[in-house]
Amino acid sequence: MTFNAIVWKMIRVNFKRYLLYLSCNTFAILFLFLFFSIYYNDEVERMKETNSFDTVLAIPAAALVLFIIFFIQYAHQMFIKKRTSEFGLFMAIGMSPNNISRLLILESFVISIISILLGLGFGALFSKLSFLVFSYFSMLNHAFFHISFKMFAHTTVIFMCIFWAAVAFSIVQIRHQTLLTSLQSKRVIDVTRTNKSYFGVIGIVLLILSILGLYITYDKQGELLFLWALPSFFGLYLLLSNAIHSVINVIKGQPSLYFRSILLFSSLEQKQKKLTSLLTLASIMIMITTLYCTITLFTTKDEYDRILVNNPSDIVYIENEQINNISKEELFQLFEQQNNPIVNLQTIPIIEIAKDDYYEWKSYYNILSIDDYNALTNEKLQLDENEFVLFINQEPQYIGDLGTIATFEMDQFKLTKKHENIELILTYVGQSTTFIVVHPNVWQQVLEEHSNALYYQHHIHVADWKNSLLAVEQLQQTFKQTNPETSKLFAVSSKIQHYTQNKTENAVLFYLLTFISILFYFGVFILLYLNLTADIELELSKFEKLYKIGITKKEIKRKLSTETFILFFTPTLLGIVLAFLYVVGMVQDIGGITNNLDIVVYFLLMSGIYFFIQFCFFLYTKGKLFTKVWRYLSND
Amino acid sequence: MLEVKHVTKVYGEMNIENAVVALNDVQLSVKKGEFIAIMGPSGSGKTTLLNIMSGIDTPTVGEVMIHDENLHAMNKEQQAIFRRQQIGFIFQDFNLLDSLIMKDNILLPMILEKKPVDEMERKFTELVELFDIELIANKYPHEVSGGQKQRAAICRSLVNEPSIIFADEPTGNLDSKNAAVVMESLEKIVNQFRTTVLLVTHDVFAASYCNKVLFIKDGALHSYIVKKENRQAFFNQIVDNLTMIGGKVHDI
Repeated sequence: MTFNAIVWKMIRVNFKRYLLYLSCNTFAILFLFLFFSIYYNDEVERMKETNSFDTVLAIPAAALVLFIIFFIQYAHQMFIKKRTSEFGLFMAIGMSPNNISRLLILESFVISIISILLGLGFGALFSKLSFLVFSYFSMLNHAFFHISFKMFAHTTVIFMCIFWAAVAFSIVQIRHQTLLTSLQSKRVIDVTRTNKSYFGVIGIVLLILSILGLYITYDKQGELLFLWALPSFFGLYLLLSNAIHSVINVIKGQPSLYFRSILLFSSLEQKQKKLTSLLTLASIMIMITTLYCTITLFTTKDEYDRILVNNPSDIVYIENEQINNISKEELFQLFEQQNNPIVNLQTIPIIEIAKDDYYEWKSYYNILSIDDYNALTNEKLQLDENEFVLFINQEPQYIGDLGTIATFEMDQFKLTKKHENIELILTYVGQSTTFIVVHPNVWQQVLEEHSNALYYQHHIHVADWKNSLLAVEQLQQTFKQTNPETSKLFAVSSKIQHYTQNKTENAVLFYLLTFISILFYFGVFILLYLNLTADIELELSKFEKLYKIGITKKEIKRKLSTETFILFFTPTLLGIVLAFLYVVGMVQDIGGITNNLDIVVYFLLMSGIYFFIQFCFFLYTKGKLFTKVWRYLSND
Repeated sequence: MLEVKHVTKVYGEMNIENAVVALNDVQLSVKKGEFIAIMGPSGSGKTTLLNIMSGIDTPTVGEVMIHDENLHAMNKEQQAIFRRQQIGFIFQDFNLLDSLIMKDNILLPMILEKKPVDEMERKFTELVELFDIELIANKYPHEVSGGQKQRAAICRSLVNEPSIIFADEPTGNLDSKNAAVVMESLEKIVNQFRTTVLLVTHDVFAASYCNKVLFIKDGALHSYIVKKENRQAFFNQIVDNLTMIGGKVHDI
């Protein structure tokens, strides 16, 4: 029998073990591919350029790569651990370390190729399916879905790098292991006895500092989010790496407490090394899922409100002597034809003055007559000829100290500010939001000097703005016919178009984050589930021993339940608390948490959903584990 | 205190051609303080009998009474509680939990019984001193020798002060020196605590420590002998009986 024949025979014998390993790798590739199918989607790429999507996606992308590294390495270690004693036996009967390495490389090669084929195949299928689901609910347009070579290539390269790094690490480990440790690998328990509590303290300090840092800097430099997240995650890891050991040590000092749950504590202590990375990763993924879902919900809702605030008028356009000329009758008729009549039309004559400002930048000012201003605001202000009203058409919170002026000079006029109004009344159109409101005589004189700077802002209100898209498009078409070369400045601006564009962008963002959330939900579940079931043989043998000396069914159930509960809800709680602290930091730039209680409601909703899903996963896992253990004990 | 009444164990369906009869109408009565070994060739049904007597396995027909309580009339929950309160176990592979230190392993039946901590501490000190394993109390099973593990397992079987101890090949994984220590420990249990000990063994040397040896062949009790003189004479007697029924024999 040749060496290769032995390898094939072993694969057939250990088929179940290989199948699990293969499934884990296939799953990792599927995960990577699904993410890349979104990350490299043309629509998302376009949005990355305009909407700083790259910053939004940086943290989930980093978490996903971490997850994949951990998952592949975990699956590989699980596979190798089960085979170490087998390798020990091979070496005992004369197989050289080179033979073992060759065997491992050959197996890994076959497994990696099959995993890639399966993972990419399923990936393409699932990404198409998920797109179909979303487009079914009319959330995405049909051009959204596509698959590119880049997606396949990046998935394969990243997987191969991580996979072969894990294999190489195992080969080095096996070559350095003594025959005895290989043979005894199943019996030795790895328990950390050294106490490095200062690591835990460093972890807590890092966590606090990074969250404080985010809180202080976020309103000025939001792009630092990623940089603050890294020390938070590292701090969490350090904290967890020490917390389990320290907590168990403290509990051990209280025998009555320790003995009450001795099986649980010993099991946690035994698994603590593996648990540290697992719990950290799961907490990070849960934090990202909750945080991103909350932010998405908030911004989606907030964006809609913002569109309504930013567009007080339904349709706005600028007209001057040559461009966008349409008679009032024609305009009314156009909307009439679409069964969406104009209910209000405000035409505001404005003279646009350009002035050299600091650093020789040009600043534009809209000169407006007090009569038009009063008509616009329903006020009854009076002005002398040497006075002006400063009207800044913006929301006060975005102005700060900039933009306000006390005097205004133009031509022969030296005007003094009488009154100031900072308020968003008009939909933004033209080149400036600053209006210098002057006496009608002054306005007339300025007009004589700058007659070519006169333009009209038309602010239209229709009966139903949500159904005004066709009329707006027709108006745009009419203007295009008379003057095809118009600049962006003269484009028709409408509430409905902003709304539609925003809806599409939100749909993509929603799709993206829902997708990542689902990936992360499953990712966390599979990590936790695998952790509980990976060493099921050891668990079964432990319960068999306990059963012989008289552990009851109820006690087995309680033990399994508590351990599963701790494993499922510790990262959930940590992730959600961390997400909340990040939400508090991230709303600093929009007035802090107290001014945005909406986001707290969304946060509670998202964490509630997460808890519920996690609870379902917990019930499923607990039930499955108990059935497995009890069936094993009953058949024994 | 222990009554085995017409116990039959059949693997497969009864009265079917392929069915294997592991035990055939076994009847046995054990009194308090007896130290009994069950011997017989491989496949004779020794371990099956021990498992049925201790409630780990169920008989196809018949019943087992311990202190007039029918072990197999209980449900699994009651059986588990009965096992940890009334019965002590010693296994060939020690059956210690790898994730617990020796002290916790020894105290495990008391922990399951939720006994007070000071009572546990007292019992623990008493037993580890008696069996000379104080120094390994804080070690994990993989850090100690086979003999020490088995002595720890004996301590564990005693913590809840059971009325009967079942031992399945207690010296099977041990060298002769450690086997002697373990058998002396069991002898100590019988003499000091008047606990009944029933062990299944292939090892004539181990069996020679007992007061009585039952021989089992083809699932039925074949014969028994009682120690009357010294251990050497009893050893020879056991060898003779084993030769007669076809068991394995080693020198003392």
